[in-house]
Amino acid sequence: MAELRKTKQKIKEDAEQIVFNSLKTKRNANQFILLSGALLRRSGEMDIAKVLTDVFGEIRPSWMEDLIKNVPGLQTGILSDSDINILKAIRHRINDAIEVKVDMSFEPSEYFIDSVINIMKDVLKGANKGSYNVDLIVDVNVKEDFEPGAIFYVNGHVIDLRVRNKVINYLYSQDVVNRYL
Amino acid sequence: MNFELPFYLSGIEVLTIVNFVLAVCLFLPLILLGYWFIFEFRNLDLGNDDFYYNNDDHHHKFYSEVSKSANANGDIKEGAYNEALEILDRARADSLKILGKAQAKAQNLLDNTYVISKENREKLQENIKNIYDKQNQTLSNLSEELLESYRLSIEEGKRENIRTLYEVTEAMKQEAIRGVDELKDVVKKETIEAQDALEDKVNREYAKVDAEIKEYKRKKIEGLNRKIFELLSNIYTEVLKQDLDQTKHEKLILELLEQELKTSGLKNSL
Repeated sequence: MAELRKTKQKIKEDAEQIVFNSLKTKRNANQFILLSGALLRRSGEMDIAKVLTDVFGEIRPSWMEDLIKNVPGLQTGILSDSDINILKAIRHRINDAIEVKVDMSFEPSEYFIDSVINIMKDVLKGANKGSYNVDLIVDVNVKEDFEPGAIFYVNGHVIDLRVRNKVINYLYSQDVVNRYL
Repeated sequence: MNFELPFYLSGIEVLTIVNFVLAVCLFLPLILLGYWFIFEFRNLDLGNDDFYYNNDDHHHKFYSEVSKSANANGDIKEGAYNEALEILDRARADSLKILGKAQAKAQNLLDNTYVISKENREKLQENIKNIYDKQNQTLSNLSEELLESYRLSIEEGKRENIRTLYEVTEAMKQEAIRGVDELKDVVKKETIEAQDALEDKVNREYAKVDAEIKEYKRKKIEGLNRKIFELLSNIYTEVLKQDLDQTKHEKLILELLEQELKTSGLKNSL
């Protein structure tokens, strides 16, 4: 019995983790919160497709597949307590996640988002002394007139990666004016 | 030393002061002596008749005797009176005689005195001269002694004055040297302090000006660098923008992020 409970708990945690990892950005997280709110407000058997259409329209976000796969109630139309707990747990993790805000001039690819999360997770793991329970949400702010590069805001720190500044810093650090001009 | 006694009488002999004094000293006793001789001579002439002469006691005695005789012998009053008159007349005559003799004798004595003065005059002059010489010598010696003593005193005083003057001069010199040293020390101290203060002020001003110049230079260079860097970065950015596609752009940002996290130490502070 205990083994079964542990297995169920493990499955639940894995489901949470998979769904949360699929969210990645703040926009997706907001969509999940919106969807979970709509689902939690309903009781009994429901039409999931209709609910999704009500929330997202015809275009469904990419993370929906992982959500439906890991929350069995979304497949049957009847949310069990376990499903509701998963949704609530994911919402809690979203609320507790570290937000990495990025200003840049274009909409980044999934690869870029994944890379940013991985890089930041490695850094935060080191900062948290090896803890792997670090949840990150990337908030991408696209500014079309933004110059090449990006600016990251993490835990109150600003990481200015604009190419202009990097070039200027490089020129300063190399004392280009005195050495070459 | 030769000198001549002054002559108060022209022609015969000149009576000097000394002679005059000597004459007076001798003459008065001689006169008294003459009178004494005269009385003695009369006594010799009158024999033992002391009725008339000798002294006042005799005189009173004489008159008392006469009175007694008159009272005793009224009869012979007139005879005695006459006799007395005769005696008086004779005494007068005798006295005149005695006076004449005395005068002659006095004249003789005066002459002798004069002779003696004349004889002794040279001797007296010589003695006086000797006395004068001796006195002169004595005075000279005394003068020399006094002079020598005075000279010694002067020399001693001079030496004392010189020594005192030297000591005073030395003391003044030492005092002056001390004063000069103190003044020198004070001037030196003041000069050094003033110099230090001036040096500090100059250094401060120099440092201030130097800092201002450096700050101005730094700002100028910084502004120049900024302009140059902006120019260069603008060129680079423009070139890069044309050359970058999204994949490259994302790769560049990720590389910059990893590099920044490694180099900036944010790993430990995030």
